[in-house]
Amino acid sequence: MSTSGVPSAQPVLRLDGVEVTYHRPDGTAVQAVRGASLEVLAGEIVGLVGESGCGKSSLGRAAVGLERLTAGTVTFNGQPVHPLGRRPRPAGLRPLQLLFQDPYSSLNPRRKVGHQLADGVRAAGEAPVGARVAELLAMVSMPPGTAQRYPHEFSGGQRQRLAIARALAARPAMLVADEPVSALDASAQAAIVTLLGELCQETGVGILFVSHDLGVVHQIAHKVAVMYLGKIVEGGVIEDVWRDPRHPYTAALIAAAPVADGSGRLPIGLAGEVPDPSAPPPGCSFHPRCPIAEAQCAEVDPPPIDVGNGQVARCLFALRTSGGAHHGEGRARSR
Amino acid sequence: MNLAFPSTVPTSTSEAGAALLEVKGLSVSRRDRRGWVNLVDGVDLHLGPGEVLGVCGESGSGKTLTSLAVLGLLPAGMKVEGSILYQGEELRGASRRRLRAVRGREIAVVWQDPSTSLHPLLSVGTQLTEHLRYHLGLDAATAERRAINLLRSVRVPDPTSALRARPHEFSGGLRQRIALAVALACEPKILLADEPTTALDVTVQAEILRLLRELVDESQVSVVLISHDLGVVSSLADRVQVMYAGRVVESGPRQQVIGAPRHPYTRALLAALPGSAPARKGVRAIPGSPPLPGRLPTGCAFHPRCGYAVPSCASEVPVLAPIDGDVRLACPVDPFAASGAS
Amino acid sequence: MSEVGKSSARAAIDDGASAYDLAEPGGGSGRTLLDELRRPGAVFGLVVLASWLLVAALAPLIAPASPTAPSSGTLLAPSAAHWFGTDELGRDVLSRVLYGARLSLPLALLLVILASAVGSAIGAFAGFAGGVIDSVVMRVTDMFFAFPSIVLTMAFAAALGPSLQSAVLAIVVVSWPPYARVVRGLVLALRGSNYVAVSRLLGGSSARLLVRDVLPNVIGPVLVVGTLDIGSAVLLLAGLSFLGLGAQPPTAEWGAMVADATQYFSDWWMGVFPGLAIATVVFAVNMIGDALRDYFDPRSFVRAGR
Repeated sequence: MSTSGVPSAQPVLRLDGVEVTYHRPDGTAVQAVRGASLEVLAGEIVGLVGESGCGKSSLGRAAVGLERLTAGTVTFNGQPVHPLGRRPRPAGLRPLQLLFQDPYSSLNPRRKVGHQLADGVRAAGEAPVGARVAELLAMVSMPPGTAQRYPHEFSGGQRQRLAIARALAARPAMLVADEPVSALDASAQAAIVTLLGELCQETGVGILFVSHDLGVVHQIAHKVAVMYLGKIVEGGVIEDVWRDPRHPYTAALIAAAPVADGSGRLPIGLAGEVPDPSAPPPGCSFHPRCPIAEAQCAEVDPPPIDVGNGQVARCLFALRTSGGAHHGEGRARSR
Repeated sequence: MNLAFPSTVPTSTSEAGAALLEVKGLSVSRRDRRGWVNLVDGVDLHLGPGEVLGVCGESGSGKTLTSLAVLGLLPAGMKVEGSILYQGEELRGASRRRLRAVRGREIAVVWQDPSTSLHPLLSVGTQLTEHLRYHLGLDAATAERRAINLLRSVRVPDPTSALRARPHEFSGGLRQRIALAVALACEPKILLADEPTTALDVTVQAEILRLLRELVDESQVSVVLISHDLGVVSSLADRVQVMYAGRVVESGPRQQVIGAPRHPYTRALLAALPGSAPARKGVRAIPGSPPLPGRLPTGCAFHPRCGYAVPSCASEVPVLAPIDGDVRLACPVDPFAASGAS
Repeated sequence: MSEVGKSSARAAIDDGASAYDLAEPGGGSGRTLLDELRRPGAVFGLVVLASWLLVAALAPLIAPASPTAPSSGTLLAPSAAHWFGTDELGRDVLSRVLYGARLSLPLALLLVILASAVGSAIGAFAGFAGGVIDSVVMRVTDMFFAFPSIVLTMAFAAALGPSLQSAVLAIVVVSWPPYARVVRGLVLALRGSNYVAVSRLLGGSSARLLVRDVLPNVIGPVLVVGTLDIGSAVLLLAGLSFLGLGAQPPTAEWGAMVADATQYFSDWWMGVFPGLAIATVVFAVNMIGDALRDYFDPRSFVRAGR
């Protein structure tokens, strides 16, 4: 296990052309994920950002095997990840873990915290269990007496730490964190985000950080993938994407975040509504809401276009640099 | 933008400065095995016409209870003390009839989750017109015309067919717009917006914030905007007050309180936001966690987590006192007095 | 167990589970089980039930006379010698009531244990199996549920001959469906829950899952249903004995005593005392059951806002 925070060349998690389809009660097929590909290297944090209905949670769950794939593959350290079935999960997949959004439902309310952490320790085949549980609690800055208590005695932020401790117990090489801080207050969010960053540095675990908040992802991730209506529309190193987004949707997300600077400046919104995922618009699915769309956008579904340094955007105009045009009011972001 | 309702700008200059809503010393307590537990402690609130007051705080700060108390909507068994003056009239302890007349007509509310604040089985049109007919006594045809105009003013597409649809047929953002239309239907003087955009996507939130700004500018309705999100408050509010553990710790114009905060808690809250620090240099989490109601530390409720506390902070409850200009601060230490920058 | 992640599983929660949420004991407000049991209603119930249990245990020592042999003149009104009077055969009613507790209470307990075991097992099986098996099992359950209990028990008694044993069997057959429903609903809800997903991701097998994650959550609601069911069991047993299908004479059983009393209406003590006995036990058990339910079903509380 690598102990430095420098990402290594071999992807720990690799998603290739993943498609996930649901069926509504009336039978209509809804493609939540329409062909997504990404990879996470060891020691790297990749943020997966999008708003509701973009499919990011489905993608996250598919990445650990909680959802079936309709197409595409998921590989963990070279092994294929099969969806959970009747048989227990193969040992080789146990270092692939998931952290849930809701800290209130991810811990069993009727079992002591220590016992739940012990599950993870035993899953990693380690002993003595008690000592390892104490070590895990220390890693997430929880007092040792925590093991004897029940989840409901703790606040949301603390419970999320316990959930992280349990995930760590399995000595994960890869952690999919599904909106781990969305249900928490600002100060608890900051603490959890910092904790995850430190853990990545110390243990070299790869993290796929799913979030609707680009600001939080900017804080913690090395790379980012932006999703819209089931597709990854932009991806790259976080600083590059943040400073110079090449997809109009990414630019819109950045411009829509309100800034707490006391200036009274209103964030810029995005007209229109997210289309029904069961009937996506033809061509580029963002075109009905796009400020720079032209006629061809309704006919051609843009392929991923490489704009340099690994930054990729699915936009016919990706090679134009934004220079503030997409931002509208052109707020300077880099400090 | 052509709004459905005429603006209610005060016509005489003497009205302009008068407070619409003046809350003094508001305290809300709940019964516990051990006695009364204070959830809101001595909160003052002042709202003028056409003004947006932002109330910030994390969960447990008492910000929602404050608004519920103003509306007289606290659950049974809670004790309310202090004075709630609406246009000079005392609302605390007012009769149920009077409160019913005030709610919706003079003071309206928009909540966080439009799927629970809108009736799921009634059509949008019925919910709007029912409001108009109950409070304003309009006949069906006039009410329907007004309803269509209201939906237009909150930018709901195709208002005429929207009238016949039920809330679940709309997206979250549209539902919140409809909830706004319902709230503003009777041209209230005050709109209480409790986390109105928290459940919405960021792009939708931006649209709703802009809509709120336009509605305020056009109709001069006053807004109490309650939110844990300092960014939201910063973009919309004129004045801000920050609450912690049931008490107000800092209040004043938005530029000062958010742009150059003086209270250690406000500073810490801003430092915890993702936008405040360059990537991966780390946001600063506030050590510890907010106290539970009824188990407040002695003296200043924030002192155990405060990096600037002195011994007297543990024994004296700070009083909200004016410092420069309109800013009021509940911190005798005032560690950032000299610097103004955050 | 079919795959975790099928959203249909979440939608399929039946009436059984909706009342027994997966939320926390005490509604997250920090109330413990003891807090609930300390409330006046529950305390009263516990005191009454404990008293009856004591009576049942000590009946041979404290009963003034034999419950089956006549001890005095017939149909004597309550007096110093016979606190509850005597019945049509001269037997001391007080003694019969005391001895009746030795029958009704343990039997009711046995009934509930059997019914809950059978019902929970069936419900768990249906919940885990899912799909067609689940539907079939639940429809069979519904069938049993739909039968009026008296009719079904009468049918059993007719088939097996009237006796206490056949009454017990009949009552178990009628009582297991509610447990099946509750447990099946819980299992379905749990299968979709996040912590079960975590267990599976950590490599748990079905058996371990059942014991560690499902059982602790199922015990509470089953306990609530069971406690409230004790009262029904007492009533059903009394009812069957009243109809002549349960305890046979000269056994002292409260229901049978009430049955006999119907022919001696003016001798009110014959029916009133056993009736009061039934009523107080059922009431006590219901008070305790309510307290348990308040603890395990947090929706009856106002949760503190977040």
